[in-house]
Amino acid sequence: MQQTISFVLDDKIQTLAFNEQLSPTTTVLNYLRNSPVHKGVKEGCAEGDCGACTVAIGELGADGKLHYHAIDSCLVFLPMLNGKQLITVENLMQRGGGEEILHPVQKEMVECNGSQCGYCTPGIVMSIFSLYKTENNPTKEIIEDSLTGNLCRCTGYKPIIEAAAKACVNNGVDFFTKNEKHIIGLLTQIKKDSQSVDIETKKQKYFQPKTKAEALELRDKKPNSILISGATDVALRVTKRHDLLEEIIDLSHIEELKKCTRTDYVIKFGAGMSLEEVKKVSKNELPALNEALTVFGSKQIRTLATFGGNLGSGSPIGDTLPVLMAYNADIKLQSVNEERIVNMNNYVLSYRVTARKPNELITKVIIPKPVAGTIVKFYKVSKRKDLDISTVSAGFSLLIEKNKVSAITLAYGGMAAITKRVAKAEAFLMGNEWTRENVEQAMELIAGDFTPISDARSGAEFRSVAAKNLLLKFWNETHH
Amino acid sequence: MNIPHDSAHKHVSGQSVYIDDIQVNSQLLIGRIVYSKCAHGKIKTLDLEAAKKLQGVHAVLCYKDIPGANQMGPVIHDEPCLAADEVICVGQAIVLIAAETEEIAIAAEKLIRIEYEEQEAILNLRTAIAKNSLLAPARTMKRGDADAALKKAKHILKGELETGAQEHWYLETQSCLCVPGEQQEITAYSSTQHPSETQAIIAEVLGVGKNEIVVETRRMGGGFGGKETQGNWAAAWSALLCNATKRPVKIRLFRDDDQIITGKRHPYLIQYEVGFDDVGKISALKFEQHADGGCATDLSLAILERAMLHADSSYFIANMEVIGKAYKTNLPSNTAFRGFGGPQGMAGMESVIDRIARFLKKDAVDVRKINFYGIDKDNITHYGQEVELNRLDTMYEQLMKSSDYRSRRKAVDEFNSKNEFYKKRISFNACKIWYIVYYVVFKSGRCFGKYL
Repeated sequence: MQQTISFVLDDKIQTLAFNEQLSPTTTVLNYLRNSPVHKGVKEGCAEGDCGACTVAIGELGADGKLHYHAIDSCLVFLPMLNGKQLITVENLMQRGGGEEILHPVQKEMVECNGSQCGYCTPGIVMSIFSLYKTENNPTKEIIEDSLTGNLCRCTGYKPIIEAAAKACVNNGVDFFTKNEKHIIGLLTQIKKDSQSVDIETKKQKYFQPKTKAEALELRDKKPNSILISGATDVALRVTKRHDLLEEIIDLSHIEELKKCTRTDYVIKFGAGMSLEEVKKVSKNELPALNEALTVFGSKQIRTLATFGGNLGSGSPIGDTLPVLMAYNADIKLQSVNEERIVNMNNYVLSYRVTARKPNELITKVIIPKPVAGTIVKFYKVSKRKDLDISTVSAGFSLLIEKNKVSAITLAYGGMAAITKRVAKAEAFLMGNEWTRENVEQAMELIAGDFTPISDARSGAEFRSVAAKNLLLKFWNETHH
Repeated sequence: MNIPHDSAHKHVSGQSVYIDDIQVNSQLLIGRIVYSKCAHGKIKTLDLEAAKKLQGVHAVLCYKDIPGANQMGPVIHDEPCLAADEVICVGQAIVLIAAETEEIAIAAEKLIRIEYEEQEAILNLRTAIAKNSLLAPARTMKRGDADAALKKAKHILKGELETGAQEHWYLETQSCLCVPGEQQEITAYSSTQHPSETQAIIAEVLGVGKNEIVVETRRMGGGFGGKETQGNWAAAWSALLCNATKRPVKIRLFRDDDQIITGKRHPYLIQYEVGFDDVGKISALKFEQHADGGCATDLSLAILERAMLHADSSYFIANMEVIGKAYKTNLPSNTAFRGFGGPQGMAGMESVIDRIARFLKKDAVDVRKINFYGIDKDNITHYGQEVELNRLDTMYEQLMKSSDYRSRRKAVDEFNSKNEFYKKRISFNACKIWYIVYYVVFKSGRCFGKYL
């Protein structure tokens, strides 16, 4: 066990010990802003919505190479950086011979007039930087996806997108490429000596186990501790409610939980896989899941947030829950002495209460590949397309055989305290023809299954109409 | 030629300094605002004793501690700096705290006890209209005789348009750092759109001469009107704390607090009655514009007038009457926002045109065209100004051609008739913006002149 964490910043290994002055729940944003030389990173919202705090993380992959990701530093607790490289906007500019040499991304942002008030600019530069390091000649779609987590209120997106397109043409080659060997050396050195982390200050305990076995042991002993993986949800308790989180188990450093395996029939996702990784993996075989994740948060959020974390929160919106119900997915729950499989339909019991027992961890999400001919779709109704919470969401699956519906799942999020299927409508459609008349009758049955609420996002009436019409939309896209 | 933004190099490399980035010595205190959780009520209890005793707290101030005037209204003096015995909106500042750290300031806030005697609150425009809760007497602009012309009109339509509020969401929240100087002097590093007014307000609340106050505004992380008058608030509050502690004090609102405390774009209810002929030529039009000003006057009346001045959009209407009313409600005082009432005024008019087009089953572009201001005649606005340099017709011809509007319209109509669920839309809108010049002296700091 070690009490400190180490990461690379400004080309040097930084080792931090935690105490009264430096809490383990200090965000990376606040840590950087307290330093005199990293004030380029900005706070705009402290909840991962605006991206002004975007920084890049360099991670040493299994392939021995460095992989760069943009993340929201306001949502990351310092110990989560353990073993990684932290890159800020200040690191992109080089100083040589009395001159300031801008990175290609920065240069294009200047030349394309990509900044107005300039406050969102460092975050945008960092998002484009991570794109620069991962994609060459990215399409407009990829550029926009990389910028969904960055708000510019002076409304300069067009020049920003243009700057990204002009900058990302060098196969990612830049100063960082030259320096990569040095950084890999430093990260390898950190990794070599690293153990599970056990931080204790006067007010807080923070554990960062390296193996699943250790995590299960810890959880068994501390069933009331707060579990985090990407912390995109839990961090808000610190940044918004100013809560003191007393005991945390951080699952972000368990490699076993990040693996994806497959058989002929199922794909097994490790619960620690980031949603961005799940999005990539699901692209061809599980397109509706891919679609759900495309409009889930932003790239920065998806890079941090994990599959297990999203399911662990058991929110009534569910985000991934409706589509997982449509895929008839299973969740694997594990404790020290037991492991069991729970079907997605039986997983959420009531408002934010799930079937997971206190001493259990979600370790896998198992999704069966749909039977040939099955259509699975995901729909999300929200005030804006990206980075918004669903007002209503839906995961539908449909199999038609011999002109009749032979299998159907209609699952809705945002309509009740839990993500829920509409049993009456499903029963009515089963065995019937997939016609507009039948679908319209089923739409009337949906109302009977729900009493939606009115809240800041929409009124109950809107939710009811939207839920019905999503079924009609599904019909419109699937009938022949 | 492409001339880069003067600060672009600094923006992209993280070297531009905003208020929260300014390096201050270890004497710096963090300011925090304790605000009303009640939309309208009397303050029954205000207990600050426990907060004052907390270690690391250097000042806890209420209205009694204001050395100058308890006032920060920019035009009309109806805006207390700190609530005295009454609160008029959720988010109204009541107490100021200066502490060594943000954590201590938050802890101190939790020790403050405020109790209210709740009173009836007006929380939307329609209630305000029903109660006739006017901020100032109604204003009228008219030309011709709209009532008489309406009687003669072939067709008459009545209707209304509601426009909503809008949050500025400047990326940099309201911020100010005040540093004490000699005796009563204070230098305020403020994220304000109006440094000289910020200076005046600080001087007023402190009861000192303006010459004692220096306001420095290097740049803002966005303002959009939200820091035109309400940038003064964080400045006045941090100045009070700075004056009380004689230490540098910084206020940087958390996003949530900023959204709760500050005003938005004015919501409008625009009611109209319009008379027109078979081709859509408007002969008579009456507008009644109702604006939700929030709990204080702020710039509501100027914004109202600007909406009234834009009620014609780009069209000559021989008989026109515009009545404007701004109402007091128990919401944070609504304020300037890009367009300053112009968008609401124009939206009302364009909504009338669309309504006429639907009624006559015509393409709205044709209704727009026949109502455009003329060059040599029909070129006086309803407020008596001549429309000069009118290029509407030329631009119309060029744009109709270059956009290939007619054939695209045909394609859109065809698509819409064939598709039940997916619809397309094409529209053509004109826009005339009335340019207002403020006293340049207001803006004489490092930045002066003003675009609206």
